[in-house]
Amino acid sequence: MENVIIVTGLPRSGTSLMMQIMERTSIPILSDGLREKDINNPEGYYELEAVKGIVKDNSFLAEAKGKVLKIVTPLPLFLDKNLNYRVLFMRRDLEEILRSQEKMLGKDQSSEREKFKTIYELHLKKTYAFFEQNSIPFIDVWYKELIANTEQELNRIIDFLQLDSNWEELANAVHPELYRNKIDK
Amino acid sequence: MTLKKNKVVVVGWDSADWKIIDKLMANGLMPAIKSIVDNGVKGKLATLDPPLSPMLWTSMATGKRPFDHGVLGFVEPDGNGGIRSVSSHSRKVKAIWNIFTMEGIKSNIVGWWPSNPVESINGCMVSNLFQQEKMGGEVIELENWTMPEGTIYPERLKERLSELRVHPHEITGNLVMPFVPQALKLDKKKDKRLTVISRLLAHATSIHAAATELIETEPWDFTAVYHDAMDHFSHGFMKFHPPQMKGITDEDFEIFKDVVIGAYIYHDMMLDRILKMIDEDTTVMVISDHGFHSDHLRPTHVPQIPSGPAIEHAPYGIIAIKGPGIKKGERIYGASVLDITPTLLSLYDLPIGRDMAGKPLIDIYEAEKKINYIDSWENVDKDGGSLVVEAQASNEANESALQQLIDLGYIDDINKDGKDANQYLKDNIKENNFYLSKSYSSAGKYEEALEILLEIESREVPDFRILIEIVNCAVKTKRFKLAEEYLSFIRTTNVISKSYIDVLESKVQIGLNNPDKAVALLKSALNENPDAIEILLDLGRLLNTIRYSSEAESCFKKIIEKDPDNPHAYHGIGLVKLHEEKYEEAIDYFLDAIDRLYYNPLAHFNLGEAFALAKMYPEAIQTFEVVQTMTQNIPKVFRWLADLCEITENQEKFEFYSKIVKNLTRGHKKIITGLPSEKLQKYLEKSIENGVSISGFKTSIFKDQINVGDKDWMKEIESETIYVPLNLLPSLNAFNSYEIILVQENIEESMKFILKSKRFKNDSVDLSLLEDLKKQERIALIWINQQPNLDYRII
Repeated sequence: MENVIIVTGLPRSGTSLMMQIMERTSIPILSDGLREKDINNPEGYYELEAVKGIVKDNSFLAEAKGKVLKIVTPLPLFLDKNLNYRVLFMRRDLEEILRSQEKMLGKDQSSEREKFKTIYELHLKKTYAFFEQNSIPFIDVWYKELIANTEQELNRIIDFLQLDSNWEELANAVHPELYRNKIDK
Repeated sequence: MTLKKNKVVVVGWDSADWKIIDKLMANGLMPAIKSIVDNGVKGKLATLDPPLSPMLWTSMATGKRPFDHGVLGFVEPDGNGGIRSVSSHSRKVKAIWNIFTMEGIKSNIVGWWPSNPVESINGCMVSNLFQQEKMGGEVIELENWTMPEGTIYPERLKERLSELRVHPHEITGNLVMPFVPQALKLDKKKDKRLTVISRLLAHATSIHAAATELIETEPWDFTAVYHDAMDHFSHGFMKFHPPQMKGITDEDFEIFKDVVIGAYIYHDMMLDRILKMIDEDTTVMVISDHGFHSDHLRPTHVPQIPSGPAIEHAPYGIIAIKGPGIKKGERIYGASVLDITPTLLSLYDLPIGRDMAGKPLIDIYEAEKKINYIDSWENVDKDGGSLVVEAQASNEANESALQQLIDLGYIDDINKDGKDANQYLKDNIKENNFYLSKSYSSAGKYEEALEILLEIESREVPDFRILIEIVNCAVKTKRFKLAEEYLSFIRTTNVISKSYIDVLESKVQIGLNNPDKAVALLKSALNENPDAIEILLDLGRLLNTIRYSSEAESCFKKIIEKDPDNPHAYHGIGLVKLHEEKYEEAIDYFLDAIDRLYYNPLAHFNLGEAFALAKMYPEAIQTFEVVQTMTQNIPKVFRWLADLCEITENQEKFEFYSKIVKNLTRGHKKIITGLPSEKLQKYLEKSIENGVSISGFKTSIFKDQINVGDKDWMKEIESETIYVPLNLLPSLNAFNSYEIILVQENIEESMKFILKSKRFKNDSVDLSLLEDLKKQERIALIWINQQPNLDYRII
């Protein structure tokens, strides 16, 4: 049975970047383009509106066989367990994610940072547990590593998904300038 | 179909409490329940948190906690943007009547909350909406009194049972008089309390009529009947129950003081009727989901929050069982509302689902009971019955049930604060999620609880209950930064008193291993609330942990002055005496604690320790054997048992327990310890030079210490030898055996060494440090001498 390829991770962890990489492979992308590109994701979001309703209706997944789609955490908990998946799990330092989200939302949430950090940490934990309990194969892709060691990371993804691409074809999606919310230390 | 020879009847009395029943039984006023107690077993039934009836009765009927069974409060979304009273739709798992249906056992289920719409079971069902006579806030007149859809199964019984209902208007003054003998003094037009009594009597009588009709006219193996009236009587009238509470006028006290007693006696009369309808081969079980405070623990006011009235509930309900094969005149201990379904399954020799949170109460049986298990009844592919209507009852019936909840103060009125329907729905879903989080945290699933709490918490509308739970769960999961973030926020609001913030912060400080700060915070909180038993208990326990024994004792004694039956206070003083090596006194206090709350494994364990240390070995063995039945695989219990059996030369038992210890033991560790001193520093350095790998020490005894904040810190340590500072010795777990090497130095030398390390002059003296060091050494030596799993030598 054909796999559904899921790109998951917390919002602002690099899921859209991974979708751009996937766009350069032979696997078709399942998205509807309803969410338009903006300054925060200049290349677009690659989202599918139906994913937002996955809690009540996950039937759209049947259309995703042999395709790649983005489902942010913790929504993979509502995947149809009868389908086969391979998951690219985007990871990024939680502090960076929170600051990036704050910038995107244009509000200071520093007094609630531990709250959101904990919620995200628990979402990640639950999502990992779901993949493990249901024997869904996944690999972690750390945003920083993808930028810094692009060749190594892309080859790992190519191996995991058994793609016929070579890493250089995919690498031009990884614009280091996208790492724009980097925290100045 | 053949019926079972041994039938079972369960009678549920919401909120029934032994404190009242015991007195009434002693005065001959509840003969029916007394006949069960005298000829069967009696026990307390521990409730669950939150103690809310629909959640609890569903746990009773499923053996599962609310987060598994799905009933999460008093209401549920109706799917049309509104809410309705909680219904059978919310239950996600099989109830006992579904399991019995699958197994060919015929059931009568009457009034269970929630059970509307009824299900097509093998037998008959009468739902909890059967007796409702209100539509919205209005009473439906007798001639128009129809039953909501989904109330009766099978349909053929509808007319017959409908006729048996008693309308509140049929309850005449004469029937109310036994509850309120001075009713004539009241102005009935102005005072609605007599109307309330009429309603509750009508409800109880309707349920009783349906139950007795089914028992008498239908074939059955199992009958379960649930009465909510006792809880409603108690919420309405317990404040008038003797002794007279502050704030209750003499007149009200005189008029209403007998209402609760009347309600208990009336329920006993109904039980008596059922007992007369069944034979000696029928097992009878009377249960309640929680108790109800009837004495000095009655709250002086009910908070105006959803489910506020639950503050009046006491943590233990009742259980009494009699029947063939059941022990007679004995007590059972450690029962919980989760154990009802497993116990009912065991009565029919059916297997218990491993996915049930409860256990069968095997102590009720005269002979050893063989218990079988299956993974889950949910996977058994047989017809257990299904809901007879897709949607829940009509709007009218829904309004009636909702109004009942509003009247009782369990949910807010939609019209309160001018809320729109959408906000009302959101608020109620949020409330249910709060109960869900409480259900998780009461099962020790703090992360699951925390996730829900963080999702529902709102900075715009701070809810003190949610904020308190967040801090508690953050502490339990060692997320101290999160706890501090919330404490900072709480301080900017006025939703929690300063003293309670201090209590919350003390928990954080304990977690961060700052006991002195925690003590200061609790003392400050106590200053503002000198009568707060919970604060006294927290403070006493903390002082005990850091061995401020006399201060701890004084906290516990203050608790006993305010609440003479508080088991935790007696337990606390017992620990004080144990630490002071006054073992006989400790024994007395532990026995006092156990007498007041038997199912307390830690108190039994400490009693066992005190017996052992007082050299009362047979008593110690017997006590640890009790602990072992209450807990699972606690290594220290088996170590004690093995040691004690060796001392008493019981070779057979010694070998038995030693084998268990061996299986549970993770390994042997060598612990180097002592007060800080040059001698200890040099000893550790020398050991390392000799090639010994020592965890917890690299270059200085003041650095690189182990993190005892982590309860199971030792699990991560691979090396055989560990340096543990003397004051941290009690953090050694019981999964290992130990050889302790205590590097002892003159205490003055130790003080000088510490002061030198802080760059004080050589001849500096710090008297409080000196005292502290003396105390540390004394505590450590007592602790070492009281442990069963270690050998030690002093060098």
